[in-house]
Amino acid sequence: MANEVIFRHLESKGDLSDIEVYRSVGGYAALEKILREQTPAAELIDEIKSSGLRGRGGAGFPTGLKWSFIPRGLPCDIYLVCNADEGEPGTFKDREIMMRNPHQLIEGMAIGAYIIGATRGYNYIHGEIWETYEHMERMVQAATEAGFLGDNILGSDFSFHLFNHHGYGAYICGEETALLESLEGKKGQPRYKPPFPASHGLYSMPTTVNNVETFACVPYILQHGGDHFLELGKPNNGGTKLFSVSGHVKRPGNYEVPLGTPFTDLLDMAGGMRNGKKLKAVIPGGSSVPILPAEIMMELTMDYDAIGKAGSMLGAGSVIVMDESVCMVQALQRLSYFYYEESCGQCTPCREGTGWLHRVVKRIEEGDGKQEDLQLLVDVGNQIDGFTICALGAAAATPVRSFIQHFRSEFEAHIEGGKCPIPNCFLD
Amino acid sequence: MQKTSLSVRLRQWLSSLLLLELLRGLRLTGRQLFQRKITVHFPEEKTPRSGRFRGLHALRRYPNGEERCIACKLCEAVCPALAIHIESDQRDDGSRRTTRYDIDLTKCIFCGMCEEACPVDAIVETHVLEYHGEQRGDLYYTKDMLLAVGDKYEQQIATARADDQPYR
Amino acid sequence: MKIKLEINGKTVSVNGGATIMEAAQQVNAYIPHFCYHEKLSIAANCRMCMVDVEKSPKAVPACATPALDGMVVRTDSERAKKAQHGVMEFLLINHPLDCPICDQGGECQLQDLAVGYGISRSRYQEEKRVVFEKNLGPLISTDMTRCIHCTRCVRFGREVAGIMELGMTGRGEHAEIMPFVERTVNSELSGNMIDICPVGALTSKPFRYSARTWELKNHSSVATHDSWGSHLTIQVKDNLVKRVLPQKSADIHEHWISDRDRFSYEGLTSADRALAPMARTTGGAILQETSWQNAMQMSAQELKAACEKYGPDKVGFFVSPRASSEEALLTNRIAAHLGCHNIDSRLRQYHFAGEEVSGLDINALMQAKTILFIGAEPARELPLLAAHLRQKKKKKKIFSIGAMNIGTQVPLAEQILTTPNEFSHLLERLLTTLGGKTSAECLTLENDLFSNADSNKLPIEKIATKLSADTIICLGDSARAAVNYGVIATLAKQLATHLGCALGSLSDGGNGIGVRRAGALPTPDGMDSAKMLRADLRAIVLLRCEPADFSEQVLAKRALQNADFVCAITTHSSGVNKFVSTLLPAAEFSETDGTYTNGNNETNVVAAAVPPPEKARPGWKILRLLGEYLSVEGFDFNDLSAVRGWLGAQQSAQEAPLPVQQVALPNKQGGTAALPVFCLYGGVPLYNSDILVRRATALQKTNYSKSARIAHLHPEDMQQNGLDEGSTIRICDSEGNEEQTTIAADTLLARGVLRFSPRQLTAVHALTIQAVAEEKTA
Repeated sequence: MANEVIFRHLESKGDLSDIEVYRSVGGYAALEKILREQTPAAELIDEIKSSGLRGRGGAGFPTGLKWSFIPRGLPCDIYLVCNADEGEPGTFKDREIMMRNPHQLIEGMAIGAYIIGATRGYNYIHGEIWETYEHMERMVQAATEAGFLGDNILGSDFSFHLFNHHGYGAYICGEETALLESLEGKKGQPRYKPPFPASHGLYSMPTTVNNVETFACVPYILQHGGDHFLELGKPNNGGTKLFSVSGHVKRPGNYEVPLGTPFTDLLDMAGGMRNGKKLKAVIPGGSSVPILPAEIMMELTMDYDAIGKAGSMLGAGSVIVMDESVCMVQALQRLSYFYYEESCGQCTPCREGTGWLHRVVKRIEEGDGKQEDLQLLVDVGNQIDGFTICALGAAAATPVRSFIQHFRSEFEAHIEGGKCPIPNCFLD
Repeated sequence: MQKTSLSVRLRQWLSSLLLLELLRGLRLTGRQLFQRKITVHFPEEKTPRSGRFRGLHALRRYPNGEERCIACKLCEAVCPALAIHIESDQRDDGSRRTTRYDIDLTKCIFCGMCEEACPVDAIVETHVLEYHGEQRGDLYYTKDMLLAVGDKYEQQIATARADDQPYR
Repeated sequence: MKIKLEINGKTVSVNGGATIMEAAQQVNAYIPHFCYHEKLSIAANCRMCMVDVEKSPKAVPACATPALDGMVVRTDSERAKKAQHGVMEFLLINHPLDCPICDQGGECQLQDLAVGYGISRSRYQEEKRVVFEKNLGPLISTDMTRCIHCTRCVRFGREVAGIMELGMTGRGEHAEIMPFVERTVNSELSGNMIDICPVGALTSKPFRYSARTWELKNHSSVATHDSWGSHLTIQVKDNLVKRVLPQKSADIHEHWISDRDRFSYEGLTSADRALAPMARTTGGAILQETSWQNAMQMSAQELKAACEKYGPDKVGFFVSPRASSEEALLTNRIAAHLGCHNIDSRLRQYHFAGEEVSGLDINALMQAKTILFIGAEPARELPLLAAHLRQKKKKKKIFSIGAMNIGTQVPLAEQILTTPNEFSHLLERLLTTLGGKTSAECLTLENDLFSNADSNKLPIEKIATKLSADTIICLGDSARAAVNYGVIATLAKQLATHLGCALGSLSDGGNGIGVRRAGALPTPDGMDSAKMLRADLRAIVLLRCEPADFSEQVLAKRALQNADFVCAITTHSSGVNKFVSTLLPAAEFSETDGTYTNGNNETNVVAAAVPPPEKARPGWKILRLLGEYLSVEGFDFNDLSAVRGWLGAQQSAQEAPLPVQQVALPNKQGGTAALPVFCLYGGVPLYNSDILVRRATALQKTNYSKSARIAHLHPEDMQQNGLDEGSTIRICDSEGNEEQTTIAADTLLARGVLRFSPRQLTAVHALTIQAVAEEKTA
């Protein structure tokens, strides 16, 4: 069942970056069919709704529903934006899609543009993956030359221009409104919502922002039907999902498996634990989601609902595996440093709080912690979460709270002993 | 008016006649006559004073000679007798300093609020109480005079403050 | 559409689209806030105004959340309080605890709210952030460590001042508010950033450390530096003006004042302040301090003597347009008593003919759909008018015919850049394009005016088609200083009449309308200021003005030098003490009661905030005494109420238009030598507008003032004439005066225009420029 949607033809048919190869495996057929038949947008949205496709960028919002929010028939431009600003620690799936199956993304965006009525699209690519940006530039040109982008695509009256835009590596630009600000040429800072991008997005026009993987699923859904896609996964969690498995496994990498696959299977695919060490904990969805200890994780299936029920989130499907040699305090120190550096500085709780969290965790890690620091960390985390403009504040508070919740004893050992109890700490 | 009973009136009359009240008073006098004397020969001798005694004001300096006062004017604002007058400006090095700091000791009620209000322990009240002026203007203390008092009694001021530290 | 919601149990009804913050203000439910400011856009970044909304999963910011029908809001529930306390703790962790030396202490929003929402001990034990100071120029002092990143200053710059000079750089904790690298804040409204800063990050540099806010007493007053007449709060300590702040008002004045109005108070204590009456010993060269009695006696005697000896038409009165109406009226009475008709307050005008245009009807301006500026530079003349035109949501079409590109100041639809000599010609073409008729005397003489642009390509028709009865035509000071201003004003009037639209002037001066109405205008028998300067006056009375207040400084100085007797009723001595026989020290605007009329024809009666320094006295008292010595009738009053009665009864000085005569305009090729001819820009530099502003030290250190001290030309003009940036040039006028200065390029100027404040030149409409060979330094 693996590699069904996005990496379906990865191994068999050669380089899908070649547009001819991509067409030979049925690429652009969905777009051609839609344009030929002039399928009404509402029909397509229903198809996507029935597929149970949920946003692959982390929030898991149903895509069909999102696209139905775009107001139609207004005398203004509508924009389609692809969020390829993949900055979350532990996530490395979007660049692989763009490198290995770029035309499926382009086709998905063109179909998305057709559905919401956009004539211009932007692909905002993370600033630290330059080759991918150059690769996408070539791919867009190839698609334009082949007539799948540009004016009057395939002879229809549908026009869609796609532009690649590369950021400069700011994590915050992965937040959709900060991404839009950055696209407009301003400093990447999230906007206050409401209004949401669906009504006031890029240049204050209706805009939809979706993840690379989401777009890449769309051609498959429209080709094979929403129900088929849904059946790949489980109810409310349709389709397959790319999991970026990293950490202490034998074969780290991207694995496309149906949603609902047990975690143990995924771990096996990744070759199991490295060096025969024991699994200690897993961050199932990228650094912003709560960590889960091994005993909970081994029982779970990989889908939005199961992981949500266990108290974490599937996020972008970035599975960070940690074995017994990991010092949790040190791991948290690294994470909190990331959020401290990447906070945009716009709103108070996040600007001041991330620094506070990082400094206290660092102090504990260095052996200067106090018993009341743990309560302080939880308090500060609670004071950030829910009071910020965007989700970065919550993302910074979440690891701190979950690490303390599940591994309190390790923190206490650091505070009492004044040094790390884990021998030969991996991060040293 | 109620009539006092005969026996009570008789007792009062007897005690007056025999000068009993007088003798009772003299008994106290006699007792004190032979006890240890508690008066001191001021100024050769001095009574002990509380560490928190509030006497003549002083402006303190830091050990490096820099004056402590930063011209925040909280003492001026809090002074209930309006005895303090401050003018401030920017000194050449950019710091905030007083250009004038006067205390009119004839107005001062020695309540110690200036001392309480001071965020940098600049204005303090020393234990000095033997100061005088021969003219009224002599008791109008200027910044230089206050700093001079501070310089003179710094040792004593610092000790008093250190002693009081646990309770502040 | 009205919606109803409930805040803290009180029902409130607001217009749809209002925020929770606005609704809460109606029921006096205070919501703590920092970044929210009613005159700025919403940022929602301080997160202090979090409130609890029923059925909402999270607390929401009141400043950015629209009120909805049926909403139930609590500003003081547990959840709201928790959010507010949490944010306050965050704000305080990196804020320095230096309130005792902070100038904001006592009026600091953070300090106030920390009392209500902070906890008494900090849980933060790590290192605090330190941010390096930024140099924002001579007006704003910075302590950026105190900054709480509310971005009010940034938004003010972008939205009100019209130029983004501050921005937030860096991310997270490293975020800092800073100007562009090596640049300062140069906006003419920059002082308002001090007011809106909720903490002590931006404070006033001139005021720095000089007083605490609780020591200051507030007095209401009115600014007298331009005809906008901003309402001021003068803050006083020990009878000294320590600070000037705006007075919030709901009308056109809003919350802002210009830097000129804010910082001019520094001139009140300048070293050359006139503090005692002075008189020149008979025939002697020494000006000596004397008693009021002596000075008065001498002034009265000499005035009388001059009238008797040379006749009253050899006596002249010059009144500053900043004087109060009472002062002007009393001067007028004294002049009338002496039989003298020579009194004028229009010191920056050359050409007195045709229509008199004054005042600016704000109502008409607000309702106008199109605005036509002629020779105006709104940001310099009326900084707040420019701010208003920038902010206006309903877009007005603004056109400009001027000698300077004002597109950076207000949003322009179209503009014609030209020299002031050509304003009349363009107005004439505008009028004829619209089918109007020019009166014969206004016809421009056949002349080769246009040399720098193809006159047929100018967007005259484009502008003409947009003009209608909903237009307002505004004349600026560059037009007023033009050699044929009378023609320009008459043509503007004809254009306004033809369109049926309003006409106004930006350049009336602080109380220009008031003093003119009070009688500081020559009667038909008298001479205007330009004529007076050339009439070899024997006795001159200056009321609160000095030679630098005249557009022809050199002529003013000559006239004062040549006169037998000069009496200066003045606040500052350095400009006039070389010439005066008697100097009577007068009170400035903050020190005297007075009546002032602004351009919008609003009359404000102002009370003195402080007494005048030392022996200086209010102008009206000086004039009253002088009048008494001259035995003027009715000058035995003891307070101003009598004079105000006269003011009410004073005949409007608006007389019939004067006859217009054609003015020979200089020709591009008309220069005597083979040198190019330039026309002076004519606008008064921002911080050179009057006697007080010239002495405000901080304002004089601004980049504006620095650039006003040298001459500017369009870069192409410089290139054509082989001039380099920073080279020395000699400027000559056609009457043989010359002056040397440094030249710099200004891309905003029109071709053929020289921006410069001349001291020695008279005929400024045909200037020749020559490079001066650099002297070799040893």
